[in-house]
Amino acid sequence: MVSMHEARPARAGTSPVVELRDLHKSFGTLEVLRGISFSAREGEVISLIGSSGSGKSTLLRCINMLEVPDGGDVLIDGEPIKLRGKGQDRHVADEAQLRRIRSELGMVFQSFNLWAHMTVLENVMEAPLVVQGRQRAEVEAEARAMLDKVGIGSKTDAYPSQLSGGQQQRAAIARALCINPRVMLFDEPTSALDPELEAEVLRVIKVLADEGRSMVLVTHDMEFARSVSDKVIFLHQGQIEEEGTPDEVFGSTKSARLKQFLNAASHSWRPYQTRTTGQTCDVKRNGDNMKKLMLAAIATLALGGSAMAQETVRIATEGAYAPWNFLDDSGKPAGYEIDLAQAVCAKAELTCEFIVNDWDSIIPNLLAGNYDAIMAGMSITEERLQTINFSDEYFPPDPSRYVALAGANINFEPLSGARIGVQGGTIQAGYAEANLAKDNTVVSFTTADQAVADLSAGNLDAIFADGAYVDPIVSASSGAIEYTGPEIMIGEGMAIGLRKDDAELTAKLNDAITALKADGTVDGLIAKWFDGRGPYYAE
Amino acid sequence: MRGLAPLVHPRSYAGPMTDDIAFWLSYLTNGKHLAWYASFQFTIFAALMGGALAVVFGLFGATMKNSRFLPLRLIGTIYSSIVRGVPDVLFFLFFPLAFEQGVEWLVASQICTPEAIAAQTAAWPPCKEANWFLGTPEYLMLASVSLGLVYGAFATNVIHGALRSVPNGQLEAARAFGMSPGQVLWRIQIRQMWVYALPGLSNVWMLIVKATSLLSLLQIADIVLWADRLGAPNFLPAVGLVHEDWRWRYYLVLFVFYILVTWLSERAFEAIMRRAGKGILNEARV
Repeated sequence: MVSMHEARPARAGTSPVVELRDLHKSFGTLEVLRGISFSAREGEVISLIGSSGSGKSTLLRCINMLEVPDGGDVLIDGEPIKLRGKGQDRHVADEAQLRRIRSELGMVFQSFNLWAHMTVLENVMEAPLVVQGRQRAEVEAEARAMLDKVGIGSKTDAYPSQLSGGQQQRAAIARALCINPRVMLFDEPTSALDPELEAEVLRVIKVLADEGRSMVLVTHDMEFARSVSDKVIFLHQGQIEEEGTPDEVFGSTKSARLKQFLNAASHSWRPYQTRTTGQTCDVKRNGDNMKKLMLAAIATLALGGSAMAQETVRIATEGAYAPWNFLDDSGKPAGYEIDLAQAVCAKAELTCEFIVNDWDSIIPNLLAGNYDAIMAGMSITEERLQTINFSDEYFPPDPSRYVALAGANINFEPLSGARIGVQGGTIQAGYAEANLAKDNTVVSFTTADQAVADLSAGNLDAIFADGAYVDPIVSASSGAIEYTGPEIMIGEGMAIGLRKDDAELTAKLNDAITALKADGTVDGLIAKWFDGRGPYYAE
Repeated sequence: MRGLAPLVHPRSYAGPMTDDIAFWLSYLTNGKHLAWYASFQFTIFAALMGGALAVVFGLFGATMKNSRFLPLRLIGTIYSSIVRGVPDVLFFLFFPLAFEQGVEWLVASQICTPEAIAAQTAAWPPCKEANWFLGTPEYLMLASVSLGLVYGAFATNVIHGALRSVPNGQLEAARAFGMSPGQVLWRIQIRQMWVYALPGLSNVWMLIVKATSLLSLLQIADIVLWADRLGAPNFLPAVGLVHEDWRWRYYLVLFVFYILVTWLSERAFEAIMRRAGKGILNEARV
C-alpha cells in the first residue's frame, strides 16, 4: 500500500513542531526510555509502534510533560520546556510556560477522559474558554462545527455517559481540535473500542491526517499506522529500533525484532497465501481487515452473489479458537470445525475453501460476500439472528466459565472491581457488557488466546469464555490456571453462520448436518476433539 | 393577643366547646409560647449555618489533606483526626468561652489603663472597658462556628475520600489541556466529587441537626429550653394550677419537629444528588 501523504509538502526551513532530544525516563529501577530523539515537522504524521512495555505511551506523555523525563529535552516549535533538577527529581521549572505550551497540544487519550459532569458541548468549549480565555460565542460556533465534523453534531447536549465509546472518543477528538492545536497527540485512541466503533474513530483521524495536521500517534494498529503516517517509529525496550517511511518500515523490514513484532502483532495485514494438500480444501488468509472493509463494503456488497452458482462454498474460520479451529504447525486450519466442514461438504457434494478471517470482522465480511459461510465457534444468538442466518447446531449449548490464575481467590458475591478479559464480539463479551461492566473492568481482546496470554501475564483477574475452549487450557496448565466462579449458560449452541438470502445453501447444509448427526459422525468428531465428550446427537 | 392576661380559667366562659377552643387558643398564643415558636429560628439558623461552615471547613481541610506540601497536609490531617475525637458538648462549651476570653484579653491589652485595672473588682476581664457582652446573636454565631468546626472535621474526611474518587484520567486530561492546579481542583474535581461525598455529607448534616439541641448550653433560649420551661407544672396565684407536669407533651412536639426535619433533609439530599449526579450516575443510554 502506498502512503497517501508522501506527496504532501512539509514546510521547509521552520523549526520542527515537536522535537525530542535524547529522552530518558525511568520508573523506579525500570528504565522505560533510553535516549530517544526524533522530530516532527509541520503537517507530519508520526506513528509510534512497538510491543506493550516498549515505552511508546510514556514517550508520547513526555511531549506534554504528563510524564517528566529524567533526562533530555522536549522542544515545541523550537522552544524548550524548562525543567529543573536531576534524574527522577526532575520537575517542571516554569508552570506558566508549561500551561501555555499545553494549551496548544491537543491530547486524545485511550480511555477518552471526557469530563463526566459536562455535556459534550461543554467538554469541547471548556479549554478554549477557561484556558485560552476566548469569547464564548466564537468558541461555541467553533465547537459545534468541530462536533459536526467528527459526526456527533446531534449529541451536543448529551453527557459522555450517554454515548457509545466511539462517540465519546470522537467527542474527545473534537475537544482536542477546538483548541486549534499545533500538534495532536493520540495515545492508543482505539484500544478501548470494539471493532465497529474503532472504524468510525479511525476514519475521523484519517480525515485529520489528510488535512495536513501535525500528529504524533501511538497505535497498535499496523494497517492504520501504515495508511496515515509520514514516518513510522518502532520502539523496542525504550529505544528507537527502526524508523522511516511506512514503506521502509513495513516493506523492507531490516531488524529481526521488528519482523518478530510485526508477525506477532498483526497477522491481519501480512500477505499470506498457503494451499493445503487436502483434495477439496483451499486455504486463504483474508488480507483485509475491518477498517478497509468498512470502506469497501458498499462496493463489494453488490458482487456477493449466491454460493450455489459457483459450486464452491467459501467457509470462514478464525484459526485461533482451539479446539474448534486453529492453525497447525504448517499454518493450515485444523480442528473440529475443519473436520466437520470436510464431512459436511463431502455429504452435500460441495467444494469447500477455507478462509482465515479475524473474528471481529467475520460477520461483516460474510455480509459483504467475501465468503459464504462462517464456522468459527459461533453461537446462535438473538442479536446475530438479526443480521445473519444459522444452520442447525453442530455443537451443543455449553456453559461459559471463568478461569483465573491458581489461588486468585476471586469473590463472586458479587463480582466487583475485577479485570475480566473476554474476546470482543462473543456471547461472553455481550454477557460481560450487560452484567459485569458496571462494577468491573471488562477488557476486550481480538482473540481468545490474547486474553489467555494476558491472564498468564497477570494483567487480568479472570477471563470469561466458552467452557470447552478453556477446558484444554486448564488441563494443559498443570494447575497454574483454574476454574473459578459460577458456570453460566448463555447462547444456544454453535452453528454455521450464513447470509439470510442464502436459503438454498442453508437447506443443503442442514440436510448434510442432519445426516451426519444420525450416522454418528458429529458425535465422533466431538469426542475426538473435545476429550471424549458426548454423545449428544445419537438416536 | 399578646397583651392578654396570662391565663383565664375555662369555666368562666359560656359553652363547653367554645370554652375549650378559647382556652387552647389563648394558651397556645400566650407570650411564652410565641417566644417558644420564635426560638425555632435559632435552631434552624444554627443548623444551616453550621452545615454550610462544616462544608467550607471540610473543603479546606480535604484540600489541605490532599496537598503536596507536608505542612498543609499535616494541618488537614491533624484537624480531621483530633477534632473528630473531641466530644461535641465539650467543644461547644470550650470554643465560645475561649474565643470570648481571647477577644477580651486582646482588647484589654490595648485599652486597659492602669487606673481602670485598679478600679476593676472582678477577676475577669482585667478592666470593665474590655468586657464583651455576648447576646443571643453573638452566641448563635459562635455556636454555628463551633458546629462548623466540629463537623467540618467529619466533612473533611468525607470530602477527602470523595475527591480521590474522581477518575484520575479526567484530572490528567484537564492538566493536559493546560488548566492550572486550581482550575483542575475547582472546575473538575470539586464539581464531580459531590456525587461521592453526598451520602457521607448527609450523615454529617443529620449529626449537626441533632447537635442543635445543645444550643441551650450557650444560654440561648432555644426550643429545648422553652419546651422544658413550658412543660413544667404551671401554677398561677390567680387561677391555681393551670396544668401539672406536661413536659413529655412538649418533648413530643420536638420529636415531631426533628423527624420532619429529617424527612425534609432526605428529600433535599435526593434532589441535590440528582442534580450533582448528572452525567456521572448511571443513566439510561440515549
